[in-house]
Amino acid sequence: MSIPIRHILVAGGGIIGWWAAVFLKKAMPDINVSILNSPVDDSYAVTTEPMFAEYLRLIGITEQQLIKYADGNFCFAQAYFNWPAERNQYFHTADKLNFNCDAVEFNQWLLKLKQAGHSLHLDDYSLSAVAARSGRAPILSSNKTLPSLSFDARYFNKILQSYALELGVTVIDDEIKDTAVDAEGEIDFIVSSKNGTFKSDFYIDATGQGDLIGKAMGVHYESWAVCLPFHKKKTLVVPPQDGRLIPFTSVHLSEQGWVKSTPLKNIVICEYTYTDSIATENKKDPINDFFSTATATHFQPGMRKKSWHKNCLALGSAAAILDGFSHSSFYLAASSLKRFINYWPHHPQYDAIENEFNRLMRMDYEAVRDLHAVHYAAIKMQVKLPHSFWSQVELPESLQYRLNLFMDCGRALPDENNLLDPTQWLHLLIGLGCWPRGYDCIANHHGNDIYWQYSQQIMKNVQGVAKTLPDYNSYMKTFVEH
Amino acid sequence: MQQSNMNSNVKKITIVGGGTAGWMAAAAFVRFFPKENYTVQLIESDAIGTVGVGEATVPHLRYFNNMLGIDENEFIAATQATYKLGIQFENWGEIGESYIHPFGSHGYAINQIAFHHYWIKLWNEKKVVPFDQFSMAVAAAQQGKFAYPSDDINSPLSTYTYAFHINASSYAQYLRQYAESRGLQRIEGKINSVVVNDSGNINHVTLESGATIDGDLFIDCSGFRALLIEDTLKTGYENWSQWLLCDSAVAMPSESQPQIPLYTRAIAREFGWQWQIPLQHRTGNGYVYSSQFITDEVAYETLQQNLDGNPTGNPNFLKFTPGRRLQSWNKNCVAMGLASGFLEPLESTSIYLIQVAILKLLEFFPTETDSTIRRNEFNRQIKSEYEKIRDFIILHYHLNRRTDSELWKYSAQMILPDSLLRKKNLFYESSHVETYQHGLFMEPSWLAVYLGQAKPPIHYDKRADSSDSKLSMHLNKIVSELNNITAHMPPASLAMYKLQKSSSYSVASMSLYGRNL
Repeated sequence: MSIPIRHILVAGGGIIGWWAAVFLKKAMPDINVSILNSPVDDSYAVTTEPMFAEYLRLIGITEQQLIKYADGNFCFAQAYFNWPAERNQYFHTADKLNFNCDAVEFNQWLLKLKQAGHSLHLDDYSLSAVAARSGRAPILSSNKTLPSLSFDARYFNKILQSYALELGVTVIDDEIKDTAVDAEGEIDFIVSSKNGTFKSDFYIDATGQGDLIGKAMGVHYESWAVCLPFHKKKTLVVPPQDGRLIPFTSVHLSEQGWVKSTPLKNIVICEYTYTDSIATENKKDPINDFFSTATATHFQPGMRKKSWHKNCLALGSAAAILDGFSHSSFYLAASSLKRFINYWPHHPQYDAIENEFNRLMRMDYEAVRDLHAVHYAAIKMQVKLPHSFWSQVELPESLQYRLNLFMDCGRALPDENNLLDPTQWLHLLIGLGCWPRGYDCIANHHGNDIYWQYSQQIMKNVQGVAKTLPDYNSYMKTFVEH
Repeated sequence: MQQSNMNSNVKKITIVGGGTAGWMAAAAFVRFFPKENYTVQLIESDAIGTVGVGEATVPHLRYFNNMLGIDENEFIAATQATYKLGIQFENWGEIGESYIHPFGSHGYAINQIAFHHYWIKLWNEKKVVPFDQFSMAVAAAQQGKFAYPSDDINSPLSTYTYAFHINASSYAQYLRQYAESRGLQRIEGKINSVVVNDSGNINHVTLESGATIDGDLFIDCSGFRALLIEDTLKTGYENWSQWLLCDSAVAMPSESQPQIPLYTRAIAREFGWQWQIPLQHRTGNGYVYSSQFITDEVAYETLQQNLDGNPTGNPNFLKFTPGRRLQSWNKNCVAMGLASGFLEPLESTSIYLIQVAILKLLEFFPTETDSTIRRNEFNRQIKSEYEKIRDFIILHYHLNRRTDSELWKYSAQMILPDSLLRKKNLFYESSHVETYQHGLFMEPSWLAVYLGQAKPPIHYDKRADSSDSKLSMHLNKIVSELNNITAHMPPASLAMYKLQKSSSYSVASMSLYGRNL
């Protein structure tokens, strides 16, 4: 790699490529940034993490703009339907639920109550869940961070494009034909279809397929198909039901996979993630009829052994492919780019930085993989006679370890990077019906009647506050205008 | 099968040994286990002395006391405690050099780039004062000033926290009263034998009096003897003396100093290092050394020659093997304190490690005699705590530039544990500190030692270069601001007197650096 890096070539014109071009140029104004604007298959719907607001600020885009120009919509909850079995319903939110009773943590006394035979629903205690369900704006929620934001990638792409031009990013509308690698295994240059060759000091692989890091440099891709078993996807855009804005995404489990609906300001994007390996024997799956007009794309969940290799950084699907429950590929790409800039190679000896970067990325990707696999674990653990398909799904060792501990004493371990809040993990499992066998001995501090009264009081308060919240539709109108 | 906690099989907790570890555990258990469901008892013998580890502490002890509902000022009075803002390391780089590792952070990020990158840039250009001068805690410690940290995150006063120097025996006494007044049964006696049942669990212990004491869970706080965890259960020990050569110590109190410092002193000597811990009425001293190089007599002479006041007691000699028990929790026995491992007190971690073992045991407390899942997780976390502290202590030895003895030459050249080598390579390649979330010493501590003790890396975040020529001025301003604030703080002795009359001490947290981190 020639150092200092004076020129970076971003390969791939999807939102991740454009984001990288804008973010790099903004962070390092002295560096020449070019983008090879070749078409990339993007998901239409992107839902980012609450933290994303920070990134937006760094490049100078406000959430209002995103809502206005990219059909954006807040997402206060993710609703699960029929998960793990029919008629189950759970609204998962980022609410902390810090309802400690003396020194006893909320989830611990809740577990104690559950064992005493009470019927409990985790989302009854969450203001965001109660409000979102009734179409209200849960803006008064105790944690002040703004919620996740969903938007349409196609519009966002256009916003980023015009912004990139404004910043002075060089745009090459062309496609990659070939990538030349030199004797050291570094990328030498890229051959395009129409404009000849392009040489750069550093390359960003945002091609989706990993044309640079995989095809040219030969960095191996590790499959996670055994724990994330779905590999086909169809997308359909539909108008919103009765024209109202919905402040939550929803996930429905169906026979051959699951459907995620992301309501945006004007449309709803439905994504069907499925497999043909589950045969629909008795009846025809109505979901298949619904998606019959959409084309299927294939994907392979997994991660690249290294997402930074020599003079190339892979972002998005070129680096890792995960299921679409949360922590979108886009959000992970944005956070890994930020990390890369932090660990920027300033001199030719950069093995330790590259290793550290890849070590951290692996921890992040594996943490998200495990969180996604939790969804399938909930099915495996609860459905009495699981389809042979589910019994073949193998949970990662790291997840199995955490699940065992969770089932034994109701505790969720934080991941070493603290990427995911362990309470989120814990709430998701309980919400999806996996109640642990044991709980903290400290929960024996009080009798069940005290906890029961306290729990009734919390629910009453939550419902009371929810009633005072504004209607989400009218709230959004004023929010965008401000 | 569903099994409920109310039907827990673990109801009787028997603590063996009544030193710092034993009484801390006893106090925590009586606080959190309701008398109706649990019995907590402690066996100790007046005939057996305790090592009394951890006279110097880290801020986490405040959290522990807080958890027990202990009033901080009452605690200070009972343990003859003094405030502590950090540790001063002397002669660790080269003889004559000195720096403080504070309970706080240094400077603050500029344009979202960590402060130390700017500092390294200027240091390499010889344009800046030493790194520790950018710490509020260091400024206060060096001028003998003390005030409670502030909650206002915009104030430099929020960038540090504090701990104590305590009389560990008095602390154990204090906790004994605490525990006994809440129903703990103390059993006087020496243990004669330990009886194991068919499943390999400890069934009961027999005392010299002939009495048998049973328990569902045994806490081994028997110190170096490790009576249950090793003598009986043969758990095994991981020896770390390839990295930590010191295996002996001699301790001796001396008269208190007229000006009581706000820091522990760790003074590197030819064959080890000397501690100096200022209490209200005496100073704790000790020399940690390697018996490979000097005899106990020579070590004792060295210590005597280097006391700041007249000795007030007899020398106490200790022998130890640095390392940790392979499993702190084995069968139905959990080892705490010296029975679970030994790391020299260079970073005042002994009491912290006891505290962590207690908190984690409360978290993963068993409900049945065989709790493999919880036990594995407890052991995993304890191992990780020990290893991270081990690496940090090794770093001090490794970064020395002394040539006056084989100890120092060896330490500078030794093969490091992989986990530390990786951290060191990253730092010297890029000035980045490897981050982790779970452990005692975080980035500010690693920086304090890296930059306090050795030459900084050549390479740092080059974005720090793009800052304008006023950088040096800006950094000078930070230092003078810290000094200004310090000037308005009361002297430590006055602070102690005044603060002891109020009860508004600041919130305790499980952090080494105060509210900002």
